[in-house]
Amino acid sequence: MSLSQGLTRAPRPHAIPGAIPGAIPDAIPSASVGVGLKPEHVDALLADPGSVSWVEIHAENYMHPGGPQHRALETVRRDFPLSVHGVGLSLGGAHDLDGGHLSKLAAVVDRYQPALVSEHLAWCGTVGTYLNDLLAVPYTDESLDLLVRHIDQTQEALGRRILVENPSRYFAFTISDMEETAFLTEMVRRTGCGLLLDVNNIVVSAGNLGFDPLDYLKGLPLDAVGEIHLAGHAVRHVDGVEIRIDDHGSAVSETVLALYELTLRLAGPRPTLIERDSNIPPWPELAAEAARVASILTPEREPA
Amino acid sequence: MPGVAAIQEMIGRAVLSGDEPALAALIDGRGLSPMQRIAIHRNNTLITLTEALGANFPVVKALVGEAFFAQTARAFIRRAPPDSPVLSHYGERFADFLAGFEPAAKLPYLADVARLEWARLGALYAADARPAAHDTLAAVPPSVLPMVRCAVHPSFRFVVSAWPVDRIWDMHQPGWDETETVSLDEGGATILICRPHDRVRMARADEGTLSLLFALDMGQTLETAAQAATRGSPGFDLTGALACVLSLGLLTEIAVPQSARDNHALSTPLSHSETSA
Repeated sequence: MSLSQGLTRAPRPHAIPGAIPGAIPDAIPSASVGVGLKPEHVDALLADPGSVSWVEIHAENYMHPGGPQHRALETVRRDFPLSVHGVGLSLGGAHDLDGGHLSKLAAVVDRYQPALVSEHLAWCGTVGTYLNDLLAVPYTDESLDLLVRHIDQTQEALGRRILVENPSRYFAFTISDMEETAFLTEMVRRTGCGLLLDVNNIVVSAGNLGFDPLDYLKGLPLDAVGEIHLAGHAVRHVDGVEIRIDDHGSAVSETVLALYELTLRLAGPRPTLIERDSNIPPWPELAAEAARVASILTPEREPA
Repeated sequence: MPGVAAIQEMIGRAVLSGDEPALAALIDGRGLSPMQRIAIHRNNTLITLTEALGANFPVVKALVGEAFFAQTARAFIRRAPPDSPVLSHYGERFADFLAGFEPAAKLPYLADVARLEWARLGALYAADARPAAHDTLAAVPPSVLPMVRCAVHPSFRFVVSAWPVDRIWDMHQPGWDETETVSLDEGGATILICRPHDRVRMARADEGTLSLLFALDMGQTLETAAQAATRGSPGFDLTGALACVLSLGLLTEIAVPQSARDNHALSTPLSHSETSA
């Protein structure tokens, strides 16, 4: 079964201290729900995961050599398959990829043997300056060539296929000469990478830039989707203009859940992650949200 | 039409600093000005990096309060944005920045509190290593002791301050006795920091102990290291210093030279070469 059909397999893990060889869960089934791993949830997750069957980490939080955070992840990794999500590689950057950062990403992947590895269609700074944000690229041939070269380089360095996430956008470039969907389609065709389809990002961008989310979905190579992200966003008003901010600071909105349901109808079941990076709720609240998403992903299951 | 590199340079400057008139032609404002669109990214950058600094320097934040910290952080972020996406390593220059930050001049100890928090952060994320047992050196015959070499734990950090910054740090931890006060007149401290297992620990020491650790870390024998410590601190107490250093978990491998082992017919291995990966 190929990754595009949802089931993914990593090489047999060998780097998890204290693990029983062969007993580490290494695949993420297509109809399964994961959450972004937060240190404050580790004990509760291990005690009662509910509908949650895998976890995702931000690679950058595990790029230091030692400390208790690694120990916590090693413990979680013995029971759960893992997705490693990078936020700082700047695949869309004009400058060369930071080789040091790519090596650190490779080290995290090697250490924790994730089923999935993903990054973003975005840039996050210029040489020597990291802005801690995911910024849009213009959709031009020059941008596409840069992105393709960086994805090729990353997949080569990691020795595996990666998933690349569609961006949340706050403005459009006047110089773009193709649609985002065409740009993503070409990216997939030229690099063989998969898509990490962030449904919240579609709603955020569609609101901010005024496009139809359904048209957008239909414009994508959905068979390349290896993972789906769901998250909450904030709505603000600037001079009377509504702006959606992708802050991962609240529960997944009803709009996003409705579009998610539609996505599943078009693409079939895919591993689905709930992202929550600020206003972190107590575990039972997140577990309840995961149960609801699980009931959408596998309708025969009722929410707990 | 500007290339991608030029566009990203412009947006990068606009996010951190302000207006970049040339962007007006490149960004579709859709009811807002292009710079209002860029301001959304500026907010993302400043808010999330302020949070990252607050997480790395919680006691500095508690000392100055949320609002003042946010202002300070924004000034720092603009002056010294991160050079890497690994934000647990962001703020190396924060203490120096605070030392020269005029609005914080009334808190002369603030920069050293930041140095202490930075040192603790470095210890937290340093490589893991198993500390030597407290009684390891007691098992070494006294005649061999001078030739022993000790590896210093990778999480070893230190702060030398003219202020009691360790006590100021303690004050802001849960469980601090509210009736106890810290006076700046208590004077300064040399503070050793180490994370032998999962928790960062710190203890006061004299400068001789610090000299001893430097010398051991450079691979000197215990005898040479003790001599270096005594040169700088004439009343240096080697026994007390070793007890302090061992109880903090600051030493990992204790290596007895092969020749000394042969001479003294030591049968038990004294070195801990096992360190976690």
